[in-house]
Amino acid sequence: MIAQFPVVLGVLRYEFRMQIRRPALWIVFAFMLSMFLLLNFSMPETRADVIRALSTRPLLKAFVGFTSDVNLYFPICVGILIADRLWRDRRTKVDELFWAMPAALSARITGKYLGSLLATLLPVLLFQCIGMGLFLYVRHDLMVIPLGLELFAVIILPGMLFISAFSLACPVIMPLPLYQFLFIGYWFWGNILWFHPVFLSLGRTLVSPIGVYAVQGFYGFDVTGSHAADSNLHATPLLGVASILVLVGIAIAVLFILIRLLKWRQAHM
Amino acid sequence: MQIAIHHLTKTYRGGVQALNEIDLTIPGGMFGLLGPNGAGKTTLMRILAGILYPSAGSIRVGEYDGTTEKGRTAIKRTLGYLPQELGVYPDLSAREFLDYIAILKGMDERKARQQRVGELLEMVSLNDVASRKLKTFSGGMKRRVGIAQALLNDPQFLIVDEPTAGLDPEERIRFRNLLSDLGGNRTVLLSTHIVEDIAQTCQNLAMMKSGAILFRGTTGQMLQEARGRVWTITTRGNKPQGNVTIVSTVNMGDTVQYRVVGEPSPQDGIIAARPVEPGLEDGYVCLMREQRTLASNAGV
Repeated sequence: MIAQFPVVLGVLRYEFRMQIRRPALWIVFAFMLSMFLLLNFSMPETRADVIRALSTRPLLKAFVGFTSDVNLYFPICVGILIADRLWRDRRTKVDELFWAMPAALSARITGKYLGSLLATLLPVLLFQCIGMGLFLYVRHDLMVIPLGLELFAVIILPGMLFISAFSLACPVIMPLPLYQFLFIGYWFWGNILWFHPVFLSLGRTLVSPIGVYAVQGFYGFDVTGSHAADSNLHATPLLGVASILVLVGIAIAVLFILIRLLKWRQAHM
Repeated sequence: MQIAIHHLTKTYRGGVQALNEIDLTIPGGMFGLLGPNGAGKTTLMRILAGILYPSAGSIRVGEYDGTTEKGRTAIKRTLGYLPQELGVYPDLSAREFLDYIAILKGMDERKARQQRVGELLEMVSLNDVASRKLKTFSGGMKRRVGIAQALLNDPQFLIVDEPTAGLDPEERIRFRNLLSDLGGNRTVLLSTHIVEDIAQTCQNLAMMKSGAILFRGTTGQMLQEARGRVWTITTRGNKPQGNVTIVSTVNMGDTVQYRVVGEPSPQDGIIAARPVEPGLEDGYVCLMREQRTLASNAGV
């Protein structure tokens, strides 16, 4: 029996390396960043709003708003960029070689998931750091740094773990372009229009990957959107914790099911 | 390390039977597995490598039972596998890819792993290009990376599936010599439809067709199958008649020289006809002819 933890670490390292080197990763994020800047800085009125938010609004509220904005759009990039990781193994035909290795499938999948996710989260973290830098420049308050990291961990990370697990797993059972299309479509439906009562969506439940329960439960604010107050969420800190645990728990369950499915498929070929 | 296969059957989903009650014992050293496309060679290789599960039958690789999960994992620790179509990550360098594979083979000590990777890159003459991305490698170079990854864990059992397909003659000779060197103290199962690869490297072989074993024995015994049945016939252009399979045709200008296997019949236009010493390819053709005759007589 070979030790599996070193396999997880080794696979994580290489998957991180391969993902971080992808030009597509940086192009997609650069595109999203451009859209973000265009929406927030292109018009004098919106520019004025942003500057006002940075300098006069209470720090916590301003930074939570910034982080929520990041978490509204950047997960789209994460979802579509992780979706092709297992599909790529089939396309390049390395999976045949991997099945002949003594490393456990669970170790390979875990390493692939964590490595791809960490690499894909790096641009998001960089953007959060840019936000930290802006707030630091305007406010001259070093508490911005731990606050920024906390908000990243509490608001952004659980949802990213959740969608990454689905993005790794779902293309195993459906064509990759179909999954990417459905993912983007559902993201707009369920997470950008989540507050609209007409649209049936998980965005108002504990399974919301944009962190609505964490934002309201821990910090007392609503996720950005003028109609967010109509959501009738009534989140408490306990519900915020529950939401995070549910998101992470589902991510783990999805990975577990993925491993079982791949093993079952191999045994029944 | 001996491999014992008993009544091995594999039926894919959809009812395609790829292997039909195969019985085979593979001794140590180089062992050839010969057969046309669709014979079941790759299926057998994949079952031995633990990638596919058999529908019925038993496999023992040394002391390990290849039909259980525990046995398969144990076999994989002592196995080196070079698949027919080697997949690589194109954006990794040769060194990185081999390091990745070494990690999957359980080589977790970094220094020892890197040393082993360096040794193998040297052995397959890829040291100078080790830092280049695999997408820049030619087919022959990728195949060498393939054999290097198969040898990372110094396997006792090496499976190579069609290793020389698509290689130029020089690359093919280099590969064959490399395989022969490896066969000294391990079991090497070489699957191919190129008879010359087996002739140059293997003492023992088996021949497969349509999921069944047609022949098992030594290369000498396979040659014997064709003794007295191989002819060189020179004509003015007309093809030899009779119950024959034409193995080669050489146009000499005014005449054409045919190498045939079978029973040629007398005909006009033959300038010369003489029996010749059979090669392994002739033995292969002979066995395939016999199998077709048997099948035809059985009404299959």
